[in-house]
Amino acid sequence: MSEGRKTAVSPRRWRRVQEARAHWSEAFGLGLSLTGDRARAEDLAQEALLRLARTPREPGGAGSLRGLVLRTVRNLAIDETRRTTPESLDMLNETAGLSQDHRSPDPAEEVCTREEVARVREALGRMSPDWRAMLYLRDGMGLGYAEIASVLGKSRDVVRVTLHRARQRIRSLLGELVKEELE
Amino acid sequence: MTSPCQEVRGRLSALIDGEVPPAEAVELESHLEGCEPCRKERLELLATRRRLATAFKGMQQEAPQPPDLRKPLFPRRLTAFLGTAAVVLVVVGLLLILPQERAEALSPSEVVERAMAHHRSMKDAELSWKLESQALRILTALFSDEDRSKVVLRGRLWIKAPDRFLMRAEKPGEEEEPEVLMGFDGESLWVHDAKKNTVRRVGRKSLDASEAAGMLKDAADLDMGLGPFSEGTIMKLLSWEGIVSFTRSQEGMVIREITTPTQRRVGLRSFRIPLPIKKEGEEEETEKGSGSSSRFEERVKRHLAHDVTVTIDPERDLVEKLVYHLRLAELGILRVTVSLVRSDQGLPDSMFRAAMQVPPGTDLGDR
Repeated sequence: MSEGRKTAVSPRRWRRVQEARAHWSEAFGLGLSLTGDRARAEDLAQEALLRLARTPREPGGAGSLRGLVLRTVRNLAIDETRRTTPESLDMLNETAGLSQDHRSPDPAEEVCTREEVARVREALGRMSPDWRAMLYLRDGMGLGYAEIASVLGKSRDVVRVTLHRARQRIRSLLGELVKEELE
Repeated sequence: MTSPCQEVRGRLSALIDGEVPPAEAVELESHLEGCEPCRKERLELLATRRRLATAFKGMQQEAPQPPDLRKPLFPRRLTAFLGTAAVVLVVVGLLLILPQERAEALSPSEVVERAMAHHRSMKDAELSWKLESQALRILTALFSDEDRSKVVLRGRLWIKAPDRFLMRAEKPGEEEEPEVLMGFDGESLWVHDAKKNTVRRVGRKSLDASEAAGMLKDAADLDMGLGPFSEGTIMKLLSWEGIVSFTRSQEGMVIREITTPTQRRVGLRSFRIPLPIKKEGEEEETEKGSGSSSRFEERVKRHLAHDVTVTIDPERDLVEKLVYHLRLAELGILRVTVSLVRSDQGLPDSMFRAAMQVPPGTDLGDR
């Protein structure tokens, strides 16, 4: 214990952490998609950045810093969900007082209101964490399948198949939610 | 059987994401041209994608300001810790310089009483005891004995200074003493008698004064002291403040979770620290012998020499599982070999190291 090994964060790592702050909102978004909870999303994003300070090695290339941040957020969230009961995973839904006009045949024409965000969160909450993460990484961040595969530690083929299922699932969930709201 | 349409629809997401090879895209497009339901399906997927993109953007915009990361790492906790550290230093100094003062300075009942008061008054989130190597070592040595091999303890361990801990444990199924509260004050093990509300000094087979002294001596000989406080030490301790919840059973000690003072759990998936459990008939002579510190020393040494193989499945396991074991290894408690389970196609070393935060220079063992 008395050895001179330093565990304090080196300036170089700090620089990297500072660079990683550029991905803060993306990390937060992933955290929010995964947990549905702002405070926890913030915790996850912050923890992910802090971990960079403790990560001993520079990741491969410049682009992989983002991948590393996202991967860490995802891993932390998965760890968290493993020890949480399914009930507590329920997303917060501020769906009270919904606007009435959701009957539009093309959902894309819908104005994205707070209700819509809440509805998407609600729908995400009914899916598995990896599906949520996939949808966020692809549709929220526009990552390619290969990059998603690397963040989630899956193969590209798995991403391809799962993402499609996730999209179909969330589509039907969103449909159900709109129906519930109308009733 | 899948119809051509079903088969095409399964690939539509990849198509709209531009993730199919050109030849496949041509094939899909030609089907879509002649199939209205599939075209409609594509439109709906596109609509879903747009809808999600907008919602996700909205979620990203909810992001608060990124934190000033210097704050959580350094100030208040460090200052608070430095205060504690100073006190510990003084106490440790007293211990070293004035051994005859030890009884007064560290009255065991006082240790336990104070700890009990803490326990009563504090919420988990407020606890800020420090997980430290020596106490863990002593504790595991004490409990890695044959007498306990059939006892299952469930409890919590508060480790304060390197040589002090308090343990509160339940013995499920035991009516006599369902709960155990014990403390180690750096010299002796003390147990609280719930019925009489008194504190008595114990060992499993009465830990007498010479044994206690032997334990302390062994501890010193094995260089388990805290050593001088350097910045590194403080950071290390800081990062390992926590409460360990564990189960002790025949197979070993299972750490169920480590909770930090902020109640942000750093690990809950069970992992097991196998303890060497003495087999029947072993070392009978030494027990009969002149007592003193030999058994303890033996146990500690055996424990120190104990190798643990940690199997990490990067798909499933907690980062903390590895980090924790490596920490134990760093502290000299265990020799750790890491073996990696390849669950998917296997991760390259570099990615594994980055994802698992493996300290540089750590041998990943046979992969």
